[in-house]
Amino acid sequence: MNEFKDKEKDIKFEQEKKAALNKMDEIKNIDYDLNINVFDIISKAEDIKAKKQERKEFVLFIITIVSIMISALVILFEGYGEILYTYVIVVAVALPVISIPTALIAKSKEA
Amino acid sequence: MNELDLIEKAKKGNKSALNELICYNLPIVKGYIIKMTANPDISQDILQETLLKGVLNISKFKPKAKFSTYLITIATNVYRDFLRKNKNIMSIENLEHEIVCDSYEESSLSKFEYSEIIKILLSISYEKRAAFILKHYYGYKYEDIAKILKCPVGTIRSRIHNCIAEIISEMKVRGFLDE
Repeated sequence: MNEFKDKEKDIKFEQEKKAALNKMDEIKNIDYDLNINVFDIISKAEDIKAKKQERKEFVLFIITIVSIMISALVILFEGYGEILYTYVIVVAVALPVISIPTALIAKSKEA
Repeated sequence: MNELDLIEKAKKGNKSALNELICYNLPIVKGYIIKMTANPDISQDILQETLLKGVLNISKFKPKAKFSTYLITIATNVYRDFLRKNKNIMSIENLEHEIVCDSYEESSLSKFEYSEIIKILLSISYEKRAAFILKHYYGYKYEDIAKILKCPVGTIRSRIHNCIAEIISEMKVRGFLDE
């Protein structure tokens, strides 16, 4: 008896479901005229990416400068004045030798 | 050109590939957002933010799923954030007068019925609504919906079932179905 009632309930639910979903189908193609310019969005995203990259490079630059200054000061205050001269010369020579080709490689990869 | 090629090109920074990819997937995302919000202004804001986030994070996209699924996932998150931010000012009552029925002409229903059906959809919680819309209107699999909404498949099944039960009950109350 209970099984029969359950089956009847299920059939009723299925019928109601079918009718309800048919009604819901009426809004399947609901549409509004939205003003979306995909190229504008892409350009905006490019700007945001460029700003992020600039900020990242700036932070990296500051960290590099500060670490060079601190290490120079440490060498100076530890009384290794002569080493400081060597250090400055090594940094002055090595930095452009390393950074310029690295920047060129990075730029060519971007292009 | 197929979607995978477009995705690869877009990841490398090809703007026209990205544009083509987005334009191709725009109707499905737009339709999903419109059904979720039923409000042109909110839809516009959410769609713009969705596309912007989609473009910004395209390098993280792994083409295991469709690009439309990726955009729908973002749209769902953006809409959830929007609801959190506006939970004090958003309510069905507020939305009721904002429902614009300019697309009802294609339907066989009257403007009033059309508006009532949208209200029924909006009266359902956004989690259930999202699951129902993805299943019913876009034919997504339960597993895919579970990934989009980040919850177990069983939860999605029960959400859709409960959603349909709520729709039936609301339709009975509003006289669309016999008691």
